[in-house]
Amino acid sequence: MNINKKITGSCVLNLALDCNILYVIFTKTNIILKGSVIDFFVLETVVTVIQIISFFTLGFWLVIKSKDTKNPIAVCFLAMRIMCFALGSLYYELFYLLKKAPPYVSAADVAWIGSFYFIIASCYLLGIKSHKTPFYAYFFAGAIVVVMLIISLLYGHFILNLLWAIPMAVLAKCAGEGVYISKNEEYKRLLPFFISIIMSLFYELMMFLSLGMVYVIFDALWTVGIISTVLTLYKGVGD
Amino acid sequence: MYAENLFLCIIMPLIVAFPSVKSESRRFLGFLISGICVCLLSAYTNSFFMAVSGLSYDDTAVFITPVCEEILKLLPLLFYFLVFEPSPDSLFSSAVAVGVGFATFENCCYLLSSGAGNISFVLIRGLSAGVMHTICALAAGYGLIYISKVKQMAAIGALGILALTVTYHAVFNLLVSVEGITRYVGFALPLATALCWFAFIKKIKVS
Repeated sequence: MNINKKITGSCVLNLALDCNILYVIFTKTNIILKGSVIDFFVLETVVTVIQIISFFTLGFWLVIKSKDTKNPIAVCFLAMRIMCFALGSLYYELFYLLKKAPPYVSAADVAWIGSFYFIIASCYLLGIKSHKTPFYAYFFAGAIVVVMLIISLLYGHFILNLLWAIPMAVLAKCAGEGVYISKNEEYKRLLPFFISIIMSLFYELMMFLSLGMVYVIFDALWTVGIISTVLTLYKGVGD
Repeated sequence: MYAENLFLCIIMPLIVAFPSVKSESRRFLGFLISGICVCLLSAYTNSFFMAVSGLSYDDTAVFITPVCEEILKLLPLLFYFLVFEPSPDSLFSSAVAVGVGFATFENCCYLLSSGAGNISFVLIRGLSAGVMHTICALAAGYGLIYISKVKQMAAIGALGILALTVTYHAVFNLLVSVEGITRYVGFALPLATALCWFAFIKKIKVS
């Protein structure tokens, strides 16, 4: 099969999987079926709590299981990434609940931005550094910079958005390179991992651009995207 | 309270003892002293940023203190890690020494300003903030040991580790800054983390 078709197929599958899991979560908890008006704050809190619990659980699981993989350090870095992110979310949620207002620039931003550095390290440890950078890797990185620039122009906070944009763009470039090297037989199993990274970056950008219920939906999709990142890496470097 | 006087009082015997001990003990003592120095420095930086930003004492503790303290605590370790390329054991014991030195001096300052008559206050102080600083230093040490396996990732990894420790510190400060049950949860957090940490490390070693 052509590599482009494979990539498109993986993207569609990833999106379908994410939407499907989200649908199951919603219907199982009767949030949609009840038909009642959902309080945004409550729903956001529920999603974040699910996110925090699942991320910490996955993180510990990954560290324990990392010894069974071909690249334990890359797996541990990914575990650190999700635990760092979960810690940031925990801080944000606690602040919101205790101080009755969301924090402006806080330790949560430090954790969320810092968590990108772990996954960038993880990508480089998988061996993508020694290969050529395809044009679409630059395109992904450029697209993120442009979107973040637009967000800065619309909402301000230029420095904060710049701090977000730098690791996101680097990660997008890494993921693009990863997709490129997945043509090789050696890296073929890592293709879903790199696609998952691109999809989660896309959800993250959409979270920046959305408000209210749409934000919650993208937050939930992003959570599932990150979980699929973890599972695909584990499968990709597993024996 | 004169933190500088207290600093001199604590650090003088350590400096005198420094040349008379050898190898591992000397390194531990050196990092213990650097932990104490870093604590004093962080008090200055916190006060400076509090004055510049105009934030209240509580807000400074939640927003600024974790960043300043964790950056300053990581600096001696990072220097040691990058310049001397130590073994994992040396790096780990150095991280412990920095954390313990920092926590010791901070505890001394608090006890001097708030009094040491109440045993429950002293215990809470020692088991919460004291343990928290040690936990953060331990995490930084473990993180640097991981990074040492892939030197080219040093800068990226150090940023990630810093983010982790800053956020953990900020969560602790946030919890103890609010009155009521939350404060007790905050006090229990470092000890609970330490217990989980040791159980987890044991599990990894067994598996």
